[in-house]
Amino acid sequence: MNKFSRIALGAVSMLTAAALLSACTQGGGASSSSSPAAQVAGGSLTVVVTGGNGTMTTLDPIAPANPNSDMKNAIFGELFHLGANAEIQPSLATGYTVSPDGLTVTYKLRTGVTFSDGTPFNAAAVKAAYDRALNPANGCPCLSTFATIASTAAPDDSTVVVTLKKPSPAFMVSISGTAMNWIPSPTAEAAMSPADFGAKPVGAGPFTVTSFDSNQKLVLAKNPKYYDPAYLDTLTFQSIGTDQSALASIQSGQAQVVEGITTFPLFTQAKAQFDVVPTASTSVWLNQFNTISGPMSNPLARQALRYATDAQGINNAIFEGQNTIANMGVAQGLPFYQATVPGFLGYDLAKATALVTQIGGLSIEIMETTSTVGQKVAEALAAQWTKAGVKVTLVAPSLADKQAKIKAGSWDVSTAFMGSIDPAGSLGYNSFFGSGQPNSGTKDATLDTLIQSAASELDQTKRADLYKQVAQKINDNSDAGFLFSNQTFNIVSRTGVVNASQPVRWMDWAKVSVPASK
Amino acid sequence: MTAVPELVLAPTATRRPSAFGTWLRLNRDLWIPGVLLALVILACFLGPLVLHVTDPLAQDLESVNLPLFSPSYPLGTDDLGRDTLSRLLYGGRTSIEIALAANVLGLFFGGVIGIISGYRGGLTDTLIARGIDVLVAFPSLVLLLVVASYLGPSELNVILAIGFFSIPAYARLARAATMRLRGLTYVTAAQLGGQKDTVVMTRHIFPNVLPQLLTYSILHIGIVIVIEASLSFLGVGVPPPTPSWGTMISNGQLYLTTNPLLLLVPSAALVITVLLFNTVGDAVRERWAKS
Amino acid sequence: MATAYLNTTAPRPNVFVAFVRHPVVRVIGIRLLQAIPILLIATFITFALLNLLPGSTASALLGDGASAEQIKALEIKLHLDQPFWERYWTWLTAAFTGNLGESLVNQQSVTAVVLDRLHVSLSLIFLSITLAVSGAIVFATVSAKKPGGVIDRIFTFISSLGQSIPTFVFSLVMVLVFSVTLSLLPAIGYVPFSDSPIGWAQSMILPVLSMSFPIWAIFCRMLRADLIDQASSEDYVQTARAKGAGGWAVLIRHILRNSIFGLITLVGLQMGSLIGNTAIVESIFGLPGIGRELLNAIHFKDIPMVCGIVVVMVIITVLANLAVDLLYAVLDPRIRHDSRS
Repeated sequence: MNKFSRIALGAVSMLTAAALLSACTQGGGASSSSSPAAQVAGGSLTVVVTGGNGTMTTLDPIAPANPNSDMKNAIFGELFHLGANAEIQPSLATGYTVSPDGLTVTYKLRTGVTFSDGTPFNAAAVKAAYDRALNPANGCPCLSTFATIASTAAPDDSTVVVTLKKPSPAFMVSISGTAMNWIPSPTAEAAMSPADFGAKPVGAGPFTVTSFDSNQKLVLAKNPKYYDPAYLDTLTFQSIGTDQSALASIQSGQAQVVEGITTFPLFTQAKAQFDVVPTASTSVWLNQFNTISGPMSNPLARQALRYATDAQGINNAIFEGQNTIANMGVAQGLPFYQATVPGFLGYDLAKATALVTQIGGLSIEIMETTSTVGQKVAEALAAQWTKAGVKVTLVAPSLADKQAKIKAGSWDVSTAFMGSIDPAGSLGYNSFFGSGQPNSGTKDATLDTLIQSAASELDQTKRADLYKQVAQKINDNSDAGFLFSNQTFNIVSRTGVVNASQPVRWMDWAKVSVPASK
Repeated sequence: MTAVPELVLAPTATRRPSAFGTWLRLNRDLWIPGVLLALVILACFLGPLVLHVTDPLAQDLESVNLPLFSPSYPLGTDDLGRDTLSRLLYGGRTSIEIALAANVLGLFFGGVIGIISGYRGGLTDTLIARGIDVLVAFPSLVLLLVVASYLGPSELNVILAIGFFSIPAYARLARAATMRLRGLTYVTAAQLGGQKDTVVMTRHIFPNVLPQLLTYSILHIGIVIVIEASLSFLGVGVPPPTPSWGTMISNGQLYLTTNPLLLLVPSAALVITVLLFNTVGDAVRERWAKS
Repeated sequence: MATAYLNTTAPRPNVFVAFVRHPVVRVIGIRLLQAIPILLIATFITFALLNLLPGSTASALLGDGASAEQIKALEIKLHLDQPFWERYWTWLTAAFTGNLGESLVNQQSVTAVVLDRLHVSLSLIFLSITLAVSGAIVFATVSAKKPGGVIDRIFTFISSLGQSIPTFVFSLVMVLVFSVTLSLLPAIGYVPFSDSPIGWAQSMILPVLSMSFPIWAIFCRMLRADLIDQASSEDYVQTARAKGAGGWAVLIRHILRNSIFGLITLVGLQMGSLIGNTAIVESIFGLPGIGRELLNAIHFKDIPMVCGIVVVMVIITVLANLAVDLLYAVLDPRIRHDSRS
């Protein structure tokens, strides 16, 4: 074996992953589905998707408005599967190697695989998919993360060589859940109109598309040719507008799984009857400050707001205490996560009040996300900061409006969530703290250098240390106040579905079955 | 309920009933709901000052979702530990403000447009009538959503959006009433007397159209409060944390099964208020129809 | 009525001229012609308003992490870099040929999507109106038989509830009662009529009930008030009573027949808000109608899709009002077709 290459083949087993995140049995009490029931093939399953996850506009892997990753994983399969703890596992690709200089990544593909239209799944198909995704004219959101790719080559049928412009240790972790991991049939893509391809694309995954009504319903059927055939015959995703009716659908037995509920009070209600399963968190909540202009450019004002924030109180009241307090912009369970980072400021109302008095009062505006839960967090923050003598108003701009405000510098505090699977990913530190970035309120050359060197450091230990320094720098300078992890949950029927109650990054529908009696 | 009138009637039977007493007896359908309505409005606008309720925005995250009759929280607390009674009173203030302001907007602009259209006739009328047709045919929800998201959610913008959407109904009403009045002798007399059109419209037409518009507006108030709630549900209503009955209902539906109180309390307030407005409106309308 | 007009064309020199001169045809023709400027203005307002909204479809699609260059590239791909007038003109000229454009979000043909979803919203609207009108007639007549009686009081209270409970609350309560607690009806989803008529009916019951409750309440209150007004004031009622006609007979045969006109007008006026309500009801019950599609399209600022749906909604309203006018004419021969109020 090549001394300089790192071979990552099924390095971490699913069992370890499950054990590490076993804190997830918030589902409450015994759940019949978590016992190793024998899985049988056949049957059909209905999944209700709601909220942002309910948006399923087009199934094209490079389209900007995507449905949930688990749906595309089901249709296209995955080159590499990412476990709940961000471990890279083989799937349609059997392994990968990274050159010592970090500039060349080589995939080995599974042989003998065909797309559901019968055309071969090979290196040429992967290269075609990559070239299509990285063509700026196609508007793939993956572009910002994968701008580091210089070229893709297919030296033989089962080998893909990706050349990078600079070393990118985040590359392999980041491809999961993007167009770099979903390979459509190039033949089908060329033959179909964009609208048709978006509605009925051809992949090599465990399921094929039977019918698709955008934003309404996606019906999938088992792909018998998949290398590890799925159990289910039919898998239906039904999109719904409100969390209440999504819960009602599983209560009335119409659905077996609900994805994407963000209304936390409903989980309390759901726990009595169903398993409430956390999906691995990739982001953390934070109060981000406009350090460049306005009242928040005063570091004392930023400290005052951080002292005035009772994150645990909000976590208990709104999230039923389910989230973990965060000291940095990396979610728990991901590489480079650290539970405590120096410079973190806890809740201290007296200090906050003193600071506000010292700077002669403070009047600020919070930009919140437009989601129900985002509004609640911002409302709670506003009330806490008011106690410290701060005058607070709330605004809920649309995403575009928010970025326009950040660009113009006409904002004070933004309450949002940040984080990617790898901190160098698209919603990582650079996007939120790099100078001139779309979500950033910071202009700090030292911090920029730290973030850049962390993103290209190949040594994992050194990289972890650099990310700790990044977080410490942000804490010391009060560029932001980190709050807690941003956790999402699936609600899973205890009797209607087998093997869907383990914590996963995204639901792997090929591994899920329904009880034999159904 | 049955015992009270007898007690009142017994002494009056011996004496001649006073004029006021007769009025009260004959207009029970108007003054009973009218007084109750005034009480509701007074409670919302003056209640917070008199009752010393807590700040509707103040949160106590330690005591969330308290039940009815909790110490110092007679109507319990909401999901963020805010006093439901206080939010109900302040929220009623917001909702009634919105309902009144949106109605005034609709009544004024709709009334002016309708009167001009009906009085002038001819091309002006045709153009205005077709313009109103556009507004009526245009799906109001699109208008509300787009206007609200363009202007950004705020109480004023909710008023503007709903007010704009109320214009066509008032305009049609005013136009029809004006056309009826135009043929009457006193209007013709005023015209022949050389009075300017603007004078005829403001002095003679407007005062006679107004009662009808006012009657409609009383009935329309309930509808506006419900629209305000629907806007909150769609995320373009009064922005949090400002309380309004609409935002409270839209928030309460999240807790329908876990803490139904959060939905029931504002809904009950809304139902009672709409019921009172409708009853008063009906009573006024009946009198208007008879005169 | 039709036979009367047939007789006037006795020499039948030209069937076409007679057809065009037929008053009913003329009313329909004028109404349809008037719909054209309404459509033009409505689409222009929609196009302009959406254009005024901050941010573009591109930034809404690309999400948080997008860079300015990425947004620019997608805007060029979607032709959003072209000037407003040019885009509106391109869309408008195509719309005249029946092509309502392509969705900016998934490139599907707007015409195809709208036609595919239209029947759901139409059946929702039609069934709700039918239920509300027939319900209102029954309840209002019973109420008006004895105004101020116990039954009248109860019905008045229920109709006030209908007016003051927001649709989204009522829908959720219905789901909770009939789907979750009683397990009688599905909570969400839509079954096409062609797949299973029974399944279709089951999936439509709760949405139709939710849609019709508030308009039933409005119809009911209006009709009851009108019935009572007429019963106490109109001469013909006194005459009918004097002739010895019974209470119910007078109420139903004479008064109700007259009051129906007001009710029909009200149906026409309620169309706008009814179409708006489809969006809420379709979202809650997961029905694949145009209302929900509209909410999604507004969220993504998908201008061609929003405009396409607005066009269809305006057409529905215009046709419904036309139907109201024609119904007027059919029910009351005294009303001349050409004398619009």
